Amino acid sequence: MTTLGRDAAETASSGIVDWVESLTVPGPAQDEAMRLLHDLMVRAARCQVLRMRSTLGGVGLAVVEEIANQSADEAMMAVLRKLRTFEGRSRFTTWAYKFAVLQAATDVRSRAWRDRDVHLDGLELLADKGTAPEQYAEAADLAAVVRTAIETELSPHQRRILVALVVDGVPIDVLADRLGASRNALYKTLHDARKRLRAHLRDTGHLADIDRQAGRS
Amino acid sequence: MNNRHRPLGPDVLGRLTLDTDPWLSCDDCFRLVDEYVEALLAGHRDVMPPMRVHLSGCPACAEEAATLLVLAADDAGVDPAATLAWLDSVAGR
Amino acid sequence: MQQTVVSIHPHGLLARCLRRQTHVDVRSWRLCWLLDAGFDRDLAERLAADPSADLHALLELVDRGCPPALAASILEPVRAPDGTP
Repeated sequence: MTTLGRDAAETASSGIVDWVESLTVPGPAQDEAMRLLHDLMVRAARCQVLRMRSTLGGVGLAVVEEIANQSADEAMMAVLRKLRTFEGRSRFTTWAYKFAVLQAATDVRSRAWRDRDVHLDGLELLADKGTAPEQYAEAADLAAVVRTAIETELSPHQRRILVALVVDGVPIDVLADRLGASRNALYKTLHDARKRLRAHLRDTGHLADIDRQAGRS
Repeated sequence: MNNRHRPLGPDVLGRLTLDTDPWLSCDDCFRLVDEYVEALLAGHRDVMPPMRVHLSGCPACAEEAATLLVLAADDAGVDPAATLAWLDSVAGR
Repeated sequence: MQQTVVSIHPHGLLARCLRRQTHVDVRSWRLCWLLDAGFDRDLAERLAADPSADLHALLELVDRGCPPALAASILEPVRAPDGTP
């Protein structure tokens, strides 16, 4: 048994047959459906915040609840706006949860990075010091190859995005928010950058070694 | 200049050079993720390859998919541990 | 054992710009990205201060060879006579 407030889900899913209709048709049943939906949003948001609690420096449960409730309110609005898009390809609860999960995750990351300076220092990629000498040499060679490819094959902005997201570990939604862009747009840039790198590494005969070192076939 | 020295393991190199084809956007991932996690919980791990690829290359989407999996599993009364471990390995976590 | 250092400085100018700020807020952060991409100071400050300005779209245009000022005017929202977007 989990601590995810299973009672809310059981009540919600057993009491309502057609969520879309229940939430759409005005009346007492709609009010009850709204209340149950909000409970589900809080449950999902709370779950996401708890799973990311270390990102917030281990905040107390009061802060967790505060974030979860704020996220749930936003997610509730999103669910109601998108209600007509529910196609029944999954349970309604699973479909609805994802709005709360997305909102909560975004809110946690935003909060965690709010006071963090996203400094992009000159980076030095070192070969892993823990490897054996011959592996160390190979790793250093591959690092040099990738570094050169990043500098020569990518456009300046692709380079900034790739390094910020993959090396610096800046969350994609945090970076998107700072740039006034969408997560989608940044992921496209990241995808294109990776594709260019792989094409270059394939042309120079290094791709197989890099894939092998990364544990990919 | 204070440079930050970052040990380069195979993981960073791997993430920089990850193959993220076939393409799937974050928006499409969000649209499909509920159906995807339920399929995973039903034991269908080779369903929707573009989803697996996207989650391997987008940590944010992967983090959210993992939570959704936990929630869906709880609703369905199944243990998500094995599927969650598999999803984490896909995401490189 | 001597370490083999492979350095990567894809955005040394950007890094130096950020370090010059005594406190890096979002506006300063955005300013540095724009200056690094070659925007002149006045335009960069205006765009950095405008939360509706999509820096990602701007910088992608610049990457494709579009001069910064032209990129900014291409992406500027069309305004009605009363100044609303």
